[in-house]
Amino acid sequence: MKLTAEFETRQALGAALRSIACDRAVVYSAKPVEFEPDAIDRPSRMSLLAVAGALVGGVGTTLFMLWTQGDYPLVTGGMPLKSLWPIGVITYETTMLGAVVGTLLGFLVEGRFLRKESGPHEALDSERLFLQLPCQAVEADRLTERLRAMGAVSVEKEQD
Amino acid sequence: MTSSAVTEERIRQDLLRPLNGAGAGYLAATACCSLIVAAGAVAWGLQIDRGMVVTGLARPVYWGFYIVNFVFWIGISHAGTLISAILRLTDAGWRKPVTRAAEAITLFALMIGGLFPLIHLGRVELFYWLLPYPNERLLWPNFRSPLVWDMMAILTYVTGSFLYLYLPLIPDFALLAKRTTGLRSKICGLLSLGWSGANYQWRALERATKLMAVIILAIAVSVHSVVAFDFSMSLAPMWHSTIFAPYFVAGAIFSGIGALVVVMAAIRKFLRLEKYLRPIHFDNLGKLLLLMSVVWLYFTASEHLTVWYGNNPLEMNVFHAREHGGFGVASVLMVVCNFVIPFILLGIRKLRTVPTIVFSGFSVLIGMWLERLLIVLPTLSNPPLRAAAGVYQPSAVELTITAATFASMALLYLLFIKAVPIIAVWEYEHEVDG
Repeated sequence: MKLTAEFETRQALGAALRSIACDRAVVYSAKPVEFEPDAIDRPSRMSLLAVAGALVGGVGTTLFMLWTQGDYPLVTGGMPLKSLWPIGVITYETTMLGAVVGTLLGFLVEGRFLRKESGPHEALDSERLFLQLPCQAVEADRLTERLRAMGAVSVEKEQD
Repeated sequence: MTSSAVTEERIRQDLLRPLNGAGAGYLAATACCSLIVAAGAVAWGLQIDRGMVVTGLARPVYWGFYIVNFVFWIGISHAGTLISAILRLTDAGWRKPVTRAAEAITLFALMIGGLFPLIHLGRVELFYWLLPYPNERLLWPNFRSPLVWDMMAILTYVTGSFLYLYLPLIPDFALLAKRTTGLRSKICGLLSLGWSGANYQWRALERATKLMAVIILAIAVSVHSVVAFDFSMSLAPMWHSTIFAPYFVAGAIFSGIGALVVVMAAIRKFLRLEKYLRPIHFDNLGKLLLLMSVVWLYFTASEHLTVWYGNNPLEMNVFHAREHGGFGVASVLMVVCNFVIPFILLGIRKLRTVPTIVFSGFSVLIGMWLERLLIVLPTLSNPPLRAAAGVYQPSAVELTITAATFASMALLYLLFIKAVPIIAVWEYEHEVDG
């Protein structure tokens, strides 16, 4: 079961988050809301994915270009067959392309776009903030009262 | 409703209003641009059918208006990414109403600029030879050629710019899906990727845009450097220069800011967004334009002084060609448009108003197009063998295609402002809230 509580202010919601301290709570809003550090955010690995993408793109393409030069050894412009100078530009571009792809992947994974999770529909076009948290059926009433006491304008129960 | 809720609702209505309906002026502008673009398409068709003989390209000038336009449009594309990325990374609050307009310029200018190598190719159907796959004898493309560098750089830049524009659009697509009906709502719903406004999605968006800002900065600088390498890797007089890459990048940022100012003024006037695109935004961009004008002059002077002092006869031929005749007039105009006008209008505080900033933007666009022209043509018209010198006259086909690219930019923008809010609703609300 899950509860969806509606708050009018960021302060009230922040206080409720601190009070409940639930790891699986999710806040829905029409614009980004900033809370105290560690109130709700999880560590991100997006930068790592970007770096990994960059490495794969850069190293992979460099090796590939060196292989193509060796596979058909054709001298052009008097350049050595295997030299990093003339292929450096493409190495750089594919490094960046890899970083872009890594970032996109990180965005899709961390934003959970691949999972089809949905929140309260009205959160997309409302000035109010919505807190959704999973709970046991037996705890629902107690949590509802607590959320109301913390300033929730309304609390709705929903079966999974 | 609380007062902040009323304000937010008003912001949403103001920013989403331009998406509804189309007035007679809008339809007329769209029709006019479409007509010019159609004329350009016909001209290109003619060129494909009859060959490059319909252009003014002939010995010794094989790079003409097409390459001038290519360099110009790739330069314009630096408006969005660089300005938006720098301002995003420095947390400049005033950037918020400006960034989407700038990022859209990047994508559209790249699409237009990216067409020119194909148009210039003549045998456009053989474009795929640049793609990295082997031919029937298992020979791969020459990865050491600047032409392949160009393709990879532009491909990377288009991909990065598209994502950089698209990611912050996702919350607005979700809002549009909720506020509209029918097909538009469905399309926006699909494009929003199921955005729910959850805190982890906002966090992911913030991280992704910041990371993309860093990456896109690195890409943008490299792209115009690669365009400069097309020239400087050759041993042609006044092209073989070590400062060409930074010179091109500085020029690109300069022309990009000019384009952004002009586009913002048009959006502000025709979409009645005076409340959101305020004089302070123009003033800040005007100061950036002034700074880049001085940087441009510094690079131009360094480049010319070095050539003049070296007194290499081959280079001096080109140097003198830039000083006399038609190129001489263009050179004077270039300096007036790129330095004299912006320096006076933007440097004197009392003169720095929205109309003068926009005028300076226009002036810079003309000046930078002339600069590209003066880089490409005099060198080719004056090859080392004096007897081989020649004159280039653009044909009607080239002029029509050139006009069509400017109309394409306007047309793409006209369509864009009817498809999505030109100012990011959620970003602007966040700024007001913050």
